[in-house]
Amino acid sequence: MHLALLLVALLAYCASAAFRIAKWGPRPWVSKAGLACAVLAVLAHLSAIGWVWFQNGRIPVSDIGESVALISAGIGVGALLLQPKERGEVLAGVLSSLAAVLLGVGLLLPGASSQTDAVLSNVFFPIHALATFVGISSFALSFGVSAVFLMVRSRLKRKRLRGLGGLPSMESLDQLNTRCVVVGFLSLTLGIAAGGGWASAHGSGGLGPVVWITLVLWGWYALAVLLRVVGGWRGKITAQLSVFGFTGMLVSLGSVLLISQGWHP
Amino acid sequence: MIGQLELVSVGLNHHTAPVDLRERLSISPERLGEHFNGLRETAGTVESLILSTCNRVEVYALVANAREQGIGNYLARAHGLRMTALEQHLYTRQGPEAVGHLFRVASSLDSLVLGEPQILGQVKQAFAQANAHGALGRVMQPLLRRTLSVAKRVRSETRIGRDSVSAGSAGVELARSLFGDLRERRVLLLGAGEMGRLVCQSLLSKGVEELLVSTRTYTNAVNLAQDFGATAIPIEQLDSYLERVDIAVVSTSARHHLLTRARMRPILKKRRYRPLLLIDLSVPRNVAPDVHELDGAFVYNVDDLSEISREGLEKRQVAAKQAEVLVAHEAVRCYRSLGARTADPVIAKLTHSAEAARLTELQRSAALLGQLTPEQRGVIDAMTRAMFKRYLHNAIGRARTLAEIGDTEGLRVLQESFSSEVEDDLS
Repeated sequence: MHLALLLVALLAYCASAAFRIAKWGPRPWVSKAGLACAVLAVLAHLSAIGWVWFQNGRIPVSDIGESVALISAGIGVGALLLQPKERGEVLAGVLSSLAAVLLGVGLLLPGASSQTDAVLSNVFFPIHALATFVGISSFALSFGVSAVFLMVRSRLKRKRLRGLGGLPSMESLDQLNTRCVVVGFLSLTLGIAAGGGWASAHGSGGLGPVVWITLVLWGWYALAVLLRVVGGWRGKITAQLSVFGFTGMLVSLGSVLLISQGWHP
Repeated sequence: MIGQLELVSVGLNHHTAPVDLRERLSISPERLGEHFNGLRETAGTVESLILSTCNRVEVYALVANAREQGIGNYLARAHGLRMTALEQHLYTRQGPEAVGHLFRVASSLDSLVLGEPQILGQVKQAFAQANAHGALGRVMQPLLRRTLSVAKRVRSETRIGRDSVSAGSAGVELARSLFGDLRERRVLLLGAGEMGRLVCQSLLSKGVEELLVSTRTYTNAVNLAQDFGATAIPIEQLDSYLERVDIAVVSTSARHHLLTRARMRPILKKRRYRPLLLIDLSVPRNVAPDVHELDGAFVYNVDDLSEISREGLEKRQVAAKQAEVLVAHEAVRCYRSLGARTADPVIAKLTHSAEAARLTELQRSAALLGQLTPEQRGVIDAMTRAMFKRYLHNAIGRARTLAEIGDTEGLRVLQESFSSEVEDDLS
């Protein structure tokens, strides 16, 4: 059941991306079909997560595959919520593609939890896991939005406006990016704090590589928030911070978690 | 054919007639009533619509067959022209071609600027005026409703009106790619060049929040600002305003670069690299090309705007091909459905006679059936209604087919045979 729901979600994300990115002309049904597929994908994805949570009594983050699939769900939900006022179709398509890729990777990665119920039943764990994953999903959304921003900017700089009609304006993308980074930063902060509480409750000594990497990434995004919100910096630099931040997160955390089978001290 | 009548369009437009002739033939709204009457009396129109814009004067009318010549003659006479001088500029279309022409006109496929949106409003207005003068009837009312719906479909299902084809709209398109909604944007116009004014007009029409104007002399700036309802600023304060605005339209007669890389760098830094769109419409250019390389600056000159307009026109031409297919298909469908409407009186007569026969029979039977409950009466009523509906189904279908192909004789025979059948039943 769980796997079937995830496969439905994967197919629906792909269909949504195809409807929204493919240039099929301004037919109203294409846009409606894209939105319907995105809603179906998110419903199926959340049902799959709910199913595992209900069956096992824990958030499905016990291995890296489940974790990546959870991030993908966050992106799917974000793609539905983050609709710019106008010309948001292609952006939503890009975010759906990102969700589909991460869900596909999540399905291919090895499963099987090695954790005991005692560890997972601690009160800090769901807060830590949920807040961290909301944070990572927001950074993933910010990555997608920033990638589109840099593409739009590059085309405007090269004076190639062909195809820009279907994309949101640079200003809308910049504002969406700011929202994603701020939400992600606040969630990650909460996740780290709850993680600290969880570690102390279990008497975990020392900081593992995942924690160190997370703290560095937290600093990176703190800089992005500071520049954008406090300093008022706009444009390329804030978009690049998001793109490099998430790429760094994928590479560093991904490799360490793959080696440690999804768990960190 | 629509019954005994035919739908025709007679007129001239920017493709067939020079502007002075179009001016002479143009019809002002105040004189429409007089022309509708004239068409009815001298050209024998049953229903008519007059579309008079700066690019076309056209009459769409329902007339007895082969009387479309009368419309051309009327137009010539009413405007003091000889028919021989006018006829080389006139075109006439009949039947589905007339419907197709109206659809093409309303969809802006026949406009001087392909895809321009004004023509749809002008067709709507002509429709309202003809309606107000009682010139439309049971054929042209639905035709015009369908025209408006086809034109809207063309606009929503193709890109016909989406891409920019003028410097003003190209400027707006550029600004939208950077800023999206322009209502909260500030624009600075530097210089009093004609193209700069046009671009600012387009930006103002999109509701920009504020327009600032600066020229070499402050008095000129004040005068120019009054034309736009804008605010004049002294040229000495240009840099501080460049830190605040979102779009700067530069259109001066200066022979050198006014905004250089060295001058713009600190301005952009103070803006924290918030995007600044610089539209340089001056020749020679007033914004140094290398300003475009700076982060946050987007410099577009007159050639860039022309290129955007050219690309826009190409896209509209591609869209026009798709729209032509849609319009041709809809025109044939619409003309057939208009023809089918001539069967409506016959169908009404048939159903009326049948209903009368049903009610008579029910009354006769009521005495024989005795006391019935309301439920039983309802069942018998529904049953007889269904029987008559089935009985008439083929006849109604046949009537519509005959009307669609314009077989008025067949329609008459059908009506007569059916009437006698019903009357026999009644007797």
